[in-house]
Amino acid sequence: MMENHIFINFLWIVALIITPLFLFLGPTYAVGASITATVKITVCGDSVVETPEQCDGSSLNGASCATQDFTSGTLSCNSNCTFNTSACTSAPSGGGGGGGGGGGGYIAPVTGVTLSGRAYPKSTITVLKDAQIVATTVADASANFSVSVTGISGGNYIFSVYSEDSKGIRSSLLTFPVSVTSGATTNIGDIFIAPTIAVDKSEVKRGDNIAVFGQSAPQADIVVSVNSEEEFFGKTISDKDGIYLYNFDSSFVEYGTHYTKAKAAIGNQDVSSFSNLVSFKVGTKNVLAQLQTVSKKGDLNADGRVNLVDFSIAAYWYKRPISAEFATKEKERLNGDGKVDLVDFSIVAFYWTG
Amino acid sequence: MKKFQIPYFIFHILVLFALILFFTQQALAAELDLFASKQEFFQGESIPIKVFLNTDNESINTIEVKISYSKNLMLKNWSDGNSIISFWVEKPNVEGEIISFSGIIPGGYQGKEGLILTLDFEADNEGKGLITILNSARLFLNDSLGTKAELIFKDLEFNISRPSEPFKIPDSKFQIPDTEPPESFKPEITADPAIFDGKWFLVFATQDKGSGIDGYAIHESPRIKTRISTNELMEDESPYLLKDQNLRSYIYVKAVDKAGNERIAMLEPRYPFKWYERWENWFIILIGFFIICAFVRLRLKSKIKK
Repeated sequence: MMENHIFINFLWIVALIITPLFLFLGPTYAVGASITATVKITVCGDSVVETPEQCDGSSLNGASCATQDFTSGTLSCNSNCTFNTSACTSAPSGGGGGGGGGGGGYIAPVTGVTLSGRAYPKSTITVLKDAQIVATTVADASANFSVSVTGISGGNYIFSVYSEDSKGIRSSLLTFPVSVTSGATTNIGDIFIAPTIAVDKSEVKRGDNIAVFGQSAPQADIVVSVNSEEEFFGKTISDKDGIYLYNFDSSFVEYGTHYTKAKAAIGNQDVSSFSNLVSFKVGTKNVLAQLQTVSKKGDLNADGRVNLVDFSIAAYWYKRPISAEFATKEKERLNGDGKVDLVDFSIVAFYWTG
Repeated sequence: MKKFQIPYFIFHILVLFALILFFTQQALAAELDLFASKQEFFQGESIPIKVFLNTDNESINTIEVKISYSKNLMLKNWSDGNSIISFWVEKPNVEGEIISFSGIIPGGYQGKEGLILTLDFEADNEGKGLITILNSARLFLNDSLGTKAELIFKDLEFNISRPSEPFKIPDSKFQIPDTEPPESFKPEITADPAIFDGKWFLVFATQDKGSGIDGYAIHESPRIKTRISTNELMEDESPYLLKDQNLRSYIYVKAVDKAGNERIAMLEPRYPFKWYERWENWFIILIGFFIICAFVRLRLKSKIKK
């Protein structure tokens, strides 16, 4: 009897220890299930020096002209949070020193946002502010980009970025909410745009390989995932142009439709979000896929973009019986249930390009 | 005795696991939150209620919410200033004691305390103030399929008391200091056979980070204008069917925020009038012609006199 109580108490203690562990692990499992890309947000103009800022306003982070290899003068801070050494002087080797110049004044930063990170080499990056295009830029040969958005006021914004690879395939939209401080420049760094993805066959004969390819940053570790009843992961490395290719052996999966996606990583720190999903069928024959650079979904006026015009067309038919002409579009470009409801708006919002 | 002890323990374990499941499910669900700055309000006092979205690990791109409020509350105003919603499918609309709205966040929102809307109530009578999110509220995942997200929400309750001395009833205008005009925007002219019988229409949208957008007004003019009088601007919404289907007019779209700040966006005509199609040009030419004729005539007359 006594032993039994001890046994029960022991089990209770074990259960009480395990329970919080489970509670703690629950959300962690969720994070693992949906890999989230992170960006680093710093504010230039808030007088707090954060990496990668050299200085911020009057805060010079302990630096002076002397620490910048000058002999004297006054070090100040540029509006982009880099050192302004124009008022620093170096003592000439021999000879008398000239008169000191006037001190460089501090230039207040304008309200704005600077976005920087990685895309694909020489690719075009489009920046959306609250779902409308505000800037485009081109990445360098190493896939790095930086773009500034000014002329905005302080407040909460939703910024999104996407890129187009060398074949014209668009990446998924990477979105992040940003709180912009009035009179300061908010830096959004470490953006890593997800790889583009395509497959060479729309149907693959079971046992044959299907090529999964796309573009990312050069020399990035690419993880290709194939969703089936069981999820398969494959790894490859992108070349100097960021191009990657992964041959997936279809004998691992059953007959039927499967989906693939990819993400990129450089080192252990920079990890992109997953790309768009691409479907393929495992069947009895090989059918070559046509390269679809632009998704038809959500594009109601068929102009290759999903933006306010498409939203407006959908809004026009919202809660109205749709016309025969629009029914064809609804079937092809929305969810095909013969009406326009919020599910269709969700589809438009997912495929948004601005 | 022995027979009961093990099942009793198993029962407790099951309860614990049910709790684990409940809490982990809660952690995985998106959440709609109602927030009031305090628990006690006076009769006649402005009661700002913020509606927040917490998404946990989900990315949400579409919302539909209905909120009911107790009969002792009166909705004075609402604001989408600083809202995460980029475009309203249905702007907040009040029917009875229910406010309903739906909108989208292109690309999805993933984060905590994403402000959807600020509701400005006023209490008519003392007692309990109750604001409830109705069960019909829906959130959709940013997953290309419009999958419904798991959603949790709870009611908001606060006390309304009679003030000891008469409470100064504030202005019905939104009590948010806002001197900034709405964000700059660019309207777009387009046509599609699916709507307005293929006629040209205008789409536009902007946001205001302070008090929120109050409305839009539109003016079409064949001439460029530096000032537009208020009665020339017609209040309207996007999509707007253009009156000038020949696209020869300048189009002015004025966005006004709830504090009265304005921003006007102008679109130049796609097919502007040629110089010879404007009567005023011919009028100037004719006047010039007559002046020249008069001058030549005077010169001739003076020569004849000499």
